[in-house]
Amino acid sequence: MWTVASYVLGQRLRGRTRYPLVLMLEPLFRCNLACAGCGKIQYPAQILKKHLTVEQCLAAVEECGAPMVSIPGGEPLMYPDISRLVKELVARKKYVYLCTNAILLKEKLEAGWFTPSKYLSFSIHMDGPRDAHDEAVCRDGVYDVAVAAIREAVRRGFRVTTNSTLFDGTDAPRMRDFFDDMMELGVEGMMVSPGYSYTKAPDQEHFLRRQRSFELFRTMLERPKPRWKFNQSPLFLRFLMGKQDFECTPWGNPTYNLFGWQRPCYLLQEGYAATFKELIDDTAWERYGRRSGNDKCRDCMVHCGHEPSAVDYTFSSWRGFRDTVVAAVTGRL
Amino acid sequence: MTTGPEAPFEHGGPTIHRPASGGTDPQTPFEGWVPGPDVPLAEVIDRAFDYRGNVTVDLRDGGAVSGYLFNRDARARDPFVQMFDAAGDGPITIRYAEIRTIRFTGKDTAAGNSYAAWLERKAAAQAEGRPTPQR
Ligand code: SF4
Ligand code: SF4
Repeated sequence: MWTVASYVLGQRLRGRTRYPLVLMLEPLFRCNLACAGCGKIQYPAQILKKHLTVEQCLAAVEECGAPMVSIPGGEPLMYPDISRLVKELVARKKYVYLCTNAILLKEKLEAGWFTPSKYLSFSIHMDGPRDAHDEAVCRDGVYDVAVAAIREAVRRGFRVTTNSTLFDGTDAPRMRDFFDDMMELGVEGMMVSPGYSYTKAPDQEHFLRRQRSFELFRTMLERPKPRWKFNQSPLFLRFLMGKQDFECTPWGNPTYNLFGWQRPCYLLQEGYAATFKELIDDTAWERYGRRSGNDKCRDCMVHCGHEPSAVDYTFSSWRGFRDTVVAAVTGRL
Repeated sequence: MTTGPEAPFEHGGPTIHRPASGGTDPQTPFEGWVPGPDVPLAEVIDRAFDYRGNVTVDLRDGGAVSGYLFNRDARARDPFVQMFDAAGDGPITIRYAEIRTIRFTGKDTAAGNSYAAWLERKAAAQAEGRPTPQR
């Protein structure tokens, strides 16, 4: 919390209104799953075979300056240099979230690829209870593999969180049981976000529209149990429940991958900038976010665009700070 | 419930591992498309940029480059596209002014992979007593 608070306050003192909070570093697009809701893996073979070098990754981290680095993909455990990359980032005191479907996690832990650190968290892709998760990732048995990997990582003293993308048809009461199960496994915190519709993801029918998102998250998160821990801003959770409104701040989670700095956000691909500065200075930000009237942003409530807004609100206003503290202390959303 | 004040990372934490990426157009079958002369070049380039397969860029000097077109900047002073060629080498930058047309020669990697299609395949396999197909 203090890391983020001092970073945000420092940015604001310097008068920076567009600052990065979490760098989304995608070293490769290759994956060992092919989930229907995923639009990151549909590339020709020569692109899927490529990956960034560790040096390219570190240069991007340096250039961006965000205190947190999230490594999604593709599947980052298929990146041959993931162990060295994580070591380098931890040495730089970056908070690293390695976002994985966990199929290879147990094997990599047993092979000694990672060392526990307060700077390293495995963020395990878990889209709900066993049948819902296996259906979401389009492969039976993945839930059980991921649970075994979580147990192993917790046993070895690693920080473990989960992340769940929820689609239309999600069963809210069962998600509440799922939250219990995850806490039971010993995860440190959970993350939830609605899946969102944009045209390159093959599954267009099951993404959540705004009103449906509010209903789902209200049912799921109303009267949250004291044992549940979310690794997210409580104000962002209130936003998902329709109790608070935030405009998107897409520069908060900038994305870097094989193609460069992605405009404008982690989800939409409207082009690539060669440098982080070019991304920040030359992107027509006014064209994005719900208020812009851009159709592509109309129903979007995803984490990568709106959680940075919630965090900025927390640390840039007394009211935001008070609301966050009240939610954190009382557990009420 | 807590949002983990004891965990130093809870604000603006990690990402969700379901990264869908977006284009600008509805999913349309462009595989194999050879644009006619009536389609403006800027539109052809936009379609190629949204296309999740290899394309062949025919150049005005008679040459051609095949590969994945991953970037285009129509607002630049000298608008350009960027590609990785079929061997994955690049990026190769080509100015709009050098391009005659673009043919959609590669397979559309996003086509036919819908969630609904997988559910159908799964139901069919179960009905026939076959193992569940995996993706
Ligand atoms: S595991 Fe993640 S990267 Fe791989 S297909 Fe599924 S959502 Fe996409
Ligand atoms: S509203 Fe969503 S799609 Fe639009 S820029 Fe923000 S994160 Fe991207």
